[in-house]
Amino acid sequence: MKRRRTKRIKLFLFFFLLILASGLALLFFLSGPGEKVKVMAKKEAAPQESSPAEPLRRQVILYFPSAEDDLLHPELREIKAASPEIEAEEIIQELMAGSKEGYLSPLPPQTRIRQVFITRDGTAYVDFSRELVERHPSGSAAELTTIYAIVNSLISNIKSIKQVFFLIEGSERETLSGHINLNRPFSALPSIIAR
Amino acid sequence: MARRQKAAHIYALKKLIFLLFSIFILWSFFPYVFSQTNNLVQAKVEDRTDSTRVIITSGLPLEVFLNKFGSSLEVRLKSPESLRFRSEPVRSRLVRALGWASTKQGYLIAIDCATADFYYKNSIQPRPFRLEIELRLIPQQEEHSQPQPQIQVKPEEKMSSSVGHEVNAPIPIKNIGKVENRDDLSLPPAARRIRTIVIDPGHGGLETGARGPNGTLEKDITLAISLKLKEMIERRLALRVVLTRDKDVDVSLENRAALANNNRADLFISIHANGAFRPKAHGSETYFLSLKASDEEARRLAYLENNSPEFEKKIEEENQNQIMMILWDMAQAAFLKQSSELAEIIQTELNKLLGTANRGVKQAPFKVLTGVACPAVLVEVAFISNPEEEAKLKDENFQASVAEAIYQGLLNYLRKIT
Repeated sequence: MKRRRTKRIKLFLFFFLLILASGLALLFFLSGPGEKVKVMAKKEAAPQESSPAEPLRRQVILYFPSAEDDLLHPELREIKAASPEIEAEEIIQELMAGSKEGYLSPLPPQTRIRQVFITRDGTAYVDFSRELVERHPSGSAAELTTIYAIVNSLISNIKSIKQVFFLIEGSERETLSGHINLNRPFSALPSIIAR
Repeated sequence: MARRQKAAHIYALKKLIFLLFSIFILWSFFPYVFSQTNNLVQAKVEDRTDSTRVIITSGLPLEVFLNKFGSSLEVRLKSPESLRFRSEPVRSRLVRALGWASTKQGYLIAIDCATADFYYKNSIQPRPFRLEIELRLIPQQEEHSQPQPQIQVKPEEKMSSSVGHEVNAPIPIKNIGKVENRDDLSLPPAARRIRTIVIDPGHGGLETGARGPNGTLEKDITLAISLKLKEMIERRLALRVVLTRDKDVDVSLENRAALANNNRADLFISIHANGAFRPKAHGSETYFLSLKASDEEARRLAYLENNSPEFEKKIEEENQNQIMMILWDMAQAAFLKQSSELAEIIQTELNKLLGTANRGVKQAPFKVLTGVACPAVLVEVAFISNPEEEAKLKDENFQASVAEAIYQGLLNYLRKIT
């Protein structure tokens, strides 16, 4: 009787170890090669620019094109202080809402912002709805205006963003309307800001 | 006793469940383990009596795109899995080396050949994946001969005209009739090394480009000016002119650059009409490429720039594959200096002849310029979004003066490069 019991315990132990081993093996293989689990560092530890208890507001500078010259003109706004991703979305929302000082709108008003995520290396992936392309007036100058109004507004206001990569409906696109290359990220272009 | 029997039953049941569970686990991850060895892409090169074969095999079904760039054949592979590459040592008359790189869009095998004068045929077997590429030398003929019909890859392409999507096909060279008062006879011999000029009329087909307030389309204006410029150059200079499109068709931006490279373009001029948010924007400007390279790329590009235009000869054999990889993506990087000179000279002529406002020479990351492996500029003739300039752009005389201005710029550039 006792002998049988120890045998039983041994068997249980054996199966337990087997399951444990297969579980570990499963984990090991599923994690696979390093590049396979390259998950975008979404909602990365937001540098606390405000205490989360009170809905603090912060001032940002937006850049709008003008009817008189080819430069981008600064306009002050207040947005809710939040994580960099949410602030980025709000900055773009404000750009789409248009200027309060009579400047032009840098992107088609029908455009929606789908998502923003910021990687560890400071690249903001900004995903727009298809209207950004379909309703875009087209032309090199117009493309440059749209791109740099967004890029300059994001980079100058959000510390963790160093460059901006455009996505349309979740995927990469070659250009907005046949001119400027969107397959590479953009850095800020201070030279087109009016002084 | 009955109790003991029951316990034994439960015990047997438990044992069974454990067994089933472990079998399930083993069964579910075994294929995964095996697939790890499946992602290997193998390549070998075999010489036959009159051809060379490159055979690429893989355990995964792959999507393949082939493109010939000068003396290289580029094989792009698309696969959701990450791939590894192994090649047998290359010993062949025609193929010098095989290169492997992972790009943002997938993977790339570059087949580096000893000469650009070859053509290829390929056959694909999906499962198990096997791609066979047969490379053959083009029989040697006189240098300025008519194009080789064998180059065409697919039979249906033999029928199509000089432009469009068949990037691998050469563009027929027009026989230039009588030589009368050709400007190039007065050119220094060095400038005569420029043989082929590719003119790229912006947009086309469904891709209309910018639209003027009165409905004028950018694609129509760019084509009209390009045709005039082609005619002008062919009449006055003994140069071969290739258009990336000569009618209202879609041509992808990559194909435009590839077409220029495959035709061994010596200069590339893209013609566009501008569009802006503000209706008052007006004037002419000339662009060359601005590149924002990553640190690693910047380092390699600096090397290329310092060694251009004869950089290929100076790079040791072992580095060549690596450097070729950048060339596909950013061939233009090695020609930025010459491109900026060409842009300056063309802009000067536009200012002289058009009476439009001078918006100067600028740099921007234009997609169409990135892959072009020769000096390349993009001319924004005037603003189609401005009603006054839209009317000008539609005017045949204005179009002719634009062509004349670009032609004069070209001529001055040719004179300058001695």
